[in-house]
Amino acid sequence: MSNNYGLYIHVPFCLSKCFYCDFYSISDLSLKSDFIAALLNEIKIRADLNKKIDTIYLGGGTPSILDPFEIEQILLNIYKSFQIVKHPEITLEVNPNTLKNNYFKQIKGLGINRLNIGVQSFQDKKLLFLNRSHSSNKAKKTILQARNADFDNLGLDIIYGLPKESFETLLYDLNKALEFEVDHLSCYTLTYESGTKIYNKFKGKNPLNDNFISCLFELTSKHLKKKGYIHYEISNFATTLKHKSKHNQKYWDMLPYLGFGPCAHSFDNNIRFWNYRDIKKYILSLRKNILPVSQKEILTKKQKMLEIIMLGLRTLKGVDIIKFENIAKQKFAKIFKNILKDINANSWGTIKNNKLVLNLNGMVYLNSITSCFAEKILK
Amino acid sequence: MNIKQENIRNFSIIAHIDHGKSTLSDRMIQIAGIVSDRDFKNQILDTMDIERERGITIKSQTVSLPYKAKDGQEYLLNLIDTPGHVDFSYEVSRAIASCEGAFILVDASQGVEAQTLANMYLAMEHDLEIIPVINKIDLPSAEIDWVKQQIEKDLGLDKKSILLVSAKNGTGVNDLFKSAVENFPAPGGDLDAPFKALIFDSHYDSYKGILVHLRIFQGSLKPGDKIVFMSNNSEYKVEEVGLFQIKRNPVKSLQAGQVGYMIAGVKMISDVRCGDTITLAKNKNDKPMSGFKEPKPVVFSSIYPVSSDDYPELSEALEKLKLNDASLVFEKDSSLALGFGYRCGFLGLLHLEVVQERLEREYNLSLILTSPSVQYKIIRKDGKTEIIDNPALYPDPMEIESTEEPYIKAAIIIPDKYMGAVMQLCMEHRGTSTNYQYLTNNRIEMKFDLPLAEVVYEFYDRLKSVTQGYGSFDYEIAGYHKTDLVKLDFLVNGERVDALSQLLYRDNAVDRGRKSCKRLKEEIPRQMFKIAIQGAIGGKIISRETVSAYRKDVTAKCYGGDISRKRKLLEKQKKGKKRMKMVGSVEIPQSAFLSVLKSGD
Ligand SMILES: Nc1nc2c(ncn2[C@@H]2O[C@H](COP(=O)(O)OP(=O)(O)OP(=O)(O)O)[C@@H](O)[C@H]2O)c(=O)[nH]1
Ligand code: SF4
Ligand SMILES: [Mg+2]
Repeated sequence: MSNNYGLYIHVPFCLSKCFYCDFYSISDLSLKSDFIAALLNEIKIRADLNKKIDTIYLGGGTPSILDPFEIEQILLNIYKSFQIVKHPEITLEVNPNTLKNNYFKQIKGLGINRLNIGVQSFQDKKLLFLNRSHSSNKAKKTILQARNADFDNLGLDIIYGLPKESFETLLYDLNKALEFEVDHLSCYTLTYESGTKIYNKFKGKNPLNDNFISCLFELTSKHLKKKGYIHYEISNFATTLKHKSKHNQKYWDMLPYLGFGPCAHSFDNNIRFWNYRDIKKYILSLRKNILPVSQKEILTKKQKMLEIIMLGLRTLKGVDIIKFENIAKQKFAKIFKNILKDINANSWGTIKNNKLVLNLNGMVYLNSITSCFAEKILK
Repeated sequence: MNIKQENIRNFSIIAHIDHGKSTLSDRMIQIAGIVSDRDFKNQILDTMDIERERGITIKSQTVSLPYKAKDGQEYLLNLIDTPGHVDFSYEVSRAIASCEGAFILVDASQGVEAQTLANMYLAMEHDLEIIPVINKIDLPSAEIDWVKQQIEKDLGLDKKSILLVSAKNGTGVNDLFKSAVENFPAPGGDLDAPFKALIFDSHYDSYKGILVHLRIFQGSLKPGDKIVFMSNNSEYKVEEVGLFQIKRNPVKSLQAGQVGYMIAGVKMISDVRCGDTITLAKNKNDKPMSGFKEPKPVVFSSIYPVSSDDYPELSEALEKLKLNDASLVFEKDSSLALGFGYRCGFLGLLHLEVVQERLEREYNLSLILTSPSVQYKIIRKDGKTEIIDNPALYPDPMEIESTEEPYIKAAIIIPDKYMGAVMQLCMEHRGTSTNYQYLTNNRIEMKFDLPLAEVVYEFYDRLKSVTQGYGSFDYEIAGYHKTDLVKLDFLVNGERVDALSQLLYRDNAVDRGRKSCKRLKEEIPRQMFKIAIQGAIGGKIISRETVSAYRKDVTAKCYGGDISRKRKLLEKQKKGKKRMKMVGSVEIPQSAFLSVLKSGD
């Protein structure tokens, strides 16, 4: 297994706040240059030329708010501070509301080879409900420009399961996305996270019932598979295995990653820690050359077991039983006898090559199934 | 602050639920300027979380407002905001007993409703000076003339005395200060006579201990005085006296006519009783004042801690809560499945929910409540009669000669076009219509005799829905009538759960059993195995549902590198289960115990 690290940069700025979003971001851009200075300092302090990096992900927030020269500065510092493999995957998340001429050509020149565009929907009604600050036309233009810049790997984000979602509205978005023949699609269900506008508006309760959302999910998977995509993680689809998000796969495989920027999470050797969810604290701390770590947790045995299952069940690779048993020091089949029996009886998945993999029938029961595993582990 | 007695006014604001009492209090508090704009929030007197969440007042609250009249005279106006819901009329009655006047508020779009009348009668019983106020005149749907007529005809108050306000935007609120000063009498009470006061409420403060809320009828009270609670002769030394001004505001002394609080280092919670008289220790042989009517609980339920170890905490919490809720009554109880607990009496189902929530939030307890019940009369074959409110004590049916259940006399006010719907509703609840009369234009007051058990649960919600919000309802208890009682049991995976059992009218039992099984199916979370839920009467199974271990539910969310968050959700789910009671091998959540009562589908 590769010991390479993933590297994540959190750019905590957005032109405006989407109503469903609970990622850390602010819309006051005046702190941008202070942020970059702090970020470069964080990279410098954590520099370690023994660490090999094979994926870099610029996320946020809205990293496409950054000017090409700023991205260049960040990447240069990363290259100076870590060992970077020969053909790293370097992703930039793009918000259509930052569309600028020539932008994509310029950043391609900096080594960015994967774009993920936050389209969310091709229907203005949906975009309005979500308070996205761009129209569907602008989203289309962004995709076309990205296509013209000739990126090997182009992906889109789609959100579904809005209060007025129907099979028709969902299919409309999927088909539009398919028209652009993108390499990668992330399709997320809308969730109501506390503290967001929609959470407050709907008092934290999704007006759609779980059963209907499961049906939308099922339709998404079936439709995209029919068009040749591989459903390789609960919300992710790619045209070929090569086009998977290598960076995100690290999260699901519990491989190490280094996160920089406010609220960014890092994981290495059973330790997970994350930075302040507060840009001012982040900057002030780094001015004093102190790492802006907010909290740290060392995973207990049970927590590791839980994460292996919880993440594995989401992926096409499945739950790595050998890895699980190495930690649990007990037989997987014995601990989960009853659940495995249910999974088998309902044809929800299979165990092959020491991997437990859910199929689509099982995926629609994912939360229940995960809870059953969790209950057993936490008992 | 030294205010002359003739410049004190004590009054309450009374009304039907939601007519705007707390909002009006807000405006008066703001005009009096006792809270900074920064600290102000809407319905500021509704301090409990549960009040704020539900948007209703549960406790009466006092606030002392300084007011300077045009002629330069300084006044102290003690305002008591009261609850409007029927379950809390005991709060209203105590507030009224410490006042000389009341503003009766009527919503300009709703008009006079059942609790407007009920609270009006309460105020009249105490000879209060009553000023009618029409609120919400800013509403486009306000019908001021129509409401004026009702005030004159239904309440018998002079049209000319009516004040018009909008509590929302403040229109007319200034006039209330003036009216209070001019119309409400100053409190009497000899300033030089020996000190005497009535306890009308109290509460527990974790820093200061017990705060006794009192109305002084004679003399004055200051720190250092030695006092005695007359009902139990316990003596204490006064440490602090003060006024309620959103925050506690300590003063040098409180005098006859004033409403305020006293801290006296009271250690024994049970020494403090609502309605008790306080005098100076040297006058302890004086005659106590007449206190308050005892509240009469109408619904009973047992409370158990989810974890049996918490029983001592529950005992202490109930004692402390009782300080602040004089209407709560309780005694020890025990159950096979649930261990030690308390049998409690409540003034209604909302009161029950409030008590449960307050115990859980303010005392951090996790509780199970058993199915609420009214008090039934059981006449045994051997001629003995007993009253039971606990299904666990229901005797062998073979020994029962006959059973009786409590009835109420209900008064329902509605626009006459809903007459048919309301008759239908009451019939469905085994009611008999006794009488009806026209009030002002197109509104009628209908009277029904109804079994109490039929109305405590959700009659009020149904009434609201069949009358599109226009129906209002008040009731009084009115003796026992013959009935046909059975005991409905529930079995979870074959085991009878005694806390779910209920006593009910035979004809309702099968239907209730079927619906309750459905509800339990929704409430009992999926566990790792199938769960059978059965309803049974006298050993015969009448309904059955199963909870399967899995259901369709998938969240395709992006967590990025924040894996801990997702994991914590799972860990929390498991923790949430600590709020459940293990019955045999099945975990039953708290909510299941109340859900069986709801009869709607
Ligand atoms: N438009 C309008 N709405 C008002 C006015 N006064 C109160 N309200 C609204 O009526 C609702 C009930 O107000 P409250 O002040 O909580 O009523 P209450 O009488 O204290 O209610 P309970 O304590 O539950 O009996 C709230 O939504 C208020 O905003 C008014 O003058 N105009
Ligand atoms: S653009 Fe993305 S990060 Fe920014 S507010 Fe919207 S969803 Fe959140
Ligand atoms: Mg109120």
